[in-house]
Amino acid sequence: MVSSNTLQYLLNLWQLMEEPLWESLYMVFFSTLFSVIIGMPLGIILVITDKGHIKENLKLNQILGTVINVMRSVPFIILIIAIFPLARLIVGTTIGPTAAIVPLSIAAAPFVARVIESSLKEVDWGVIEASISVGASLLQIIFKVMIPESLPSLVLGITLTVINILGYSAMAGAIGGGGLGDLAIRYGYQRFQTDVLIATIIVLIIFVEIVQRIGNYLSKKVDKR
Amino acid sequence: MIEIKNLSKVYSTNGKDVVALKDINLTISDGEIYGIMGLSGAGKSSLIRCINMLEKPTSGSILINGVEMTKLKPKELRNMRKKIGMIFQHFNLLMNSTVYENIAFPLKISKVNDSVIKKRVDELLDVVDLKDKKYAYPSQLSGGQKQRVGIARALANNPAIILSDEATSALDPTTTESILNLLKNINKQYGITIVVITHEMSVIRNLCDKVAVLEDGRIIEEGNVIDIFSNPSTETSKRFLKDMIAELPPDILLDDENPNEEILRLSFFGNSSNQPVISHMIKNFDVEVNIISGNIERVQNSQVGNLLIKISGKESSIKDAIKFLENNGLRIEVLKNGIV
Repeated sequence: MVSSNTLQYLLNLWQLMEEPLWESLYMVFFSTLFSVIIGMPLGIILVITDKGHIKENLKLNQILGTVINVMRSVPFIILIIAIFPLARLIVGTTIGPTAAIVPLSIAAAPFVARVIESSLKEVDWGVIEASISVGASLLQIIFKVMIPESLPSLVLGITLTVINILGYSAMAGAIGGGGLGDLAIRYGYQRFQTDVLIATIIVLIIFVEIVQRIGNYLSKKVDKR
Repeated sequence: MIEIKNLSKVYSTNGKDVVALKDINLTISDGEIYGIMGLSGAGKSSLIRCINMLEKPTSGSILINGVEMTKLKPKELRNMRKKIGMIFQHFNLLMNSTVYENIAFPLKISKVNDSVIKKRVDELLDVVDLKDKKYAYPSQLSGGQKQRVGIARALANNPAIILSDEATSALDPTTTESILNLLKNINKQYGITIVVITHEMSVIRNLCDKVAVLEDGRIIEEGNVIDIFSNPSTETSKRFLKDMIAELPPDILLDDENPNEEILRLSFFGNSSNQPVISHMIKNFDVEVNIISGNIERVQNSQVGNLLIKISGKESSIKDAIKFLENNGLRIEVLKNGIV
């Protein structure tokens, strides 16, 4: 039998974690959404402007590639601080999960662009050529050929992004973003409550595991190759 | 009608120019099955891709039913392409779409109404004999079945022309035959012009009416398939026909000293292959004949044959016999000691 003391302990722990958990989910969900909205078009442009592709434009390709690389080299913690003014402009504050979504989305977008790029590059050129030969337009090739054909790989890429953003969101917590990362630092690190730290890590592990499994399942389900 | 005039294609990579096609002139009439034959690297792929502008020619013009392809605006070009179907060596199907969706794809691109698409795809599945695979994915099909899907897709928009880019090169001989028959039927039934590029001579022989032989980006020989097969005039054509031309087995050498023996290669085509010419020759001239090897191939609707014989007798009889053969429409080559 579990003693009532243990139950009380777990309940307390849960009460401590409940809000940060929802904050984390909220941050991860919207940051993923916005980073995909920003990163997907960039990834598509990276692919189609490449040499020999459907809209070759090497200059644009190079500039975009460089910008993405620069963005990806800036340490995330620096990026958050640099983006504070933008966050204030968009959501009116620099503190809390909603404010954290702004730098998280912007930081993850270049990553998403690269992930999407590598997925779309897997599409066999022959299939694209076949669709050009039946008179498909640029947008039709992108949305009816390239994206559906690389869907399994795109799903895995977005899964990767979700998990990555979860990691970033812990860092955002450190400077006032809230969420599980914030909890782990405040209670686990600053107050030496190791049990809270471990509980947070367990929750994060479960979260990563669930996301990865769902991603794998969906990817397999849409893969008819 | 497809008219290709002074077509050239130059690729420049790293500042180096590579000439893929040089000054190509070709006219392909409506309803014809036109073969373009060449070794790999001869420029066949570039040539067929220039016809529907998958590759832009460097210079020259391509007229399809009087429309200058090289000067079309993007939208006009897309509409033009809808009337030119294309099939590929590796089928190039949408792997994440069903057979039905693959065949419907060109129609969806053309924004055809759904009920019309349904009817049309069912018709096409019938034409290519794949009714039971309607909802299968390409990965569940054999190579031949995949190519049938490719053909149905190419036919979807009722094209006037089909371009075939090595369509049977990845298939086994039996499957190749069935695909070639399908193409032949399509050509007959719908009067669709078919342009075929291939390195397989059997494809030309079984399918095409006319053929152009491409080498180093130029057309070195062109004409009716039967003419080229019976009398190739260039080295490349001969090399292609090597399998058909009987070679002298190296161990059958002629005694140098013996003037009363000769080894001949006889080529015959059309009617002469139906006549017992050799038998007549033996009866009418005092010669003996030893057949070393021979074969007969069907090319379109006639026959082309090759025979290697050793003929012995008096020198004058041999001469007369050869003259007799020539008068009967055979082509004679005298091989001495195995050297042409």
